[in-house]
Amino acid sequence: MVIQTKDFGAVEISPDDILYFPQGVYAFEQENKFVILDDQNDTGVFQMQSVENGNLRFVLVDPFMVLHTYNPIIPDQELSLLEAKYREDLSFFVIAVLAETIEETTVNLKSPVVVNFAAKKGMQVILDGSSYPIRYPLFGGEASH
Amino acid sequence: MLVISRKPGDKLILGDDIEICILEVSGEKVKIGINAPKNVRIARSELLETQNANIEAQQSAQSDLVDLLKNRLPKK
Repeated sequence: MVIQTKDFGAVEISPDDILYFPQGVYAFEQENKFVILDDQNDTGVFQMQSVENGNLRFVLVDPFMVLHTYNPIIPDQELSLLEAKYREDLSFFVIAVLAETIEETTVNLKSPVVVNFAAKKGMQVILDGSSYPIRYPLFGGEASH
Repeated sequence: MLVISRKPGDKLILGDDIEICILEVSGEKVKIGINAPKNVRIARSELLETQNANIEAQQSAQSDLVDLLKNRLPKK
């Protein structure tokens, strides 16, 4: 099937690529179908594109590239919502707020996008009891610790 | 910011009709009870901050900035 995207125009995707977000993501709760597009270059940057709304997309970053010690604890309730038996079944992404200068670009380490690709389910989880920042500077964060 | 020390079982009143009770303190966690009219929105601050960050993320997802980002991330 073909979906409209902001950057790549019409993109051919397989229905198997569609991830279902039962609760959407925060502030966009009505959007339930996304695809996560990789640019094939192993940059650690991904696009999370709404299937039904071509204008809605997020830039995702591999959190473990940003903070090597990142260790999100996903509660059992979220684990079962994602139909995952084990935490190893889950993939993690963080949403980036891009800025004109790269130094001002931040990622939300507190609320990762968590995906169980095997079940094609995803959700944004606000990590309870963690002190990960909602606006963590992409560059200079880890170095300054 | 007004800072007040309270013990478990103590209460605070905000305005005429909002009551905040300190229910339990254990380790780093404080359990709080809130009585407020239905039209008063109560949310964990990280929820509102995550909503705001998502809105900004969606607005800022411009392709030139994405390219800039890709070029700056260390290769795996």
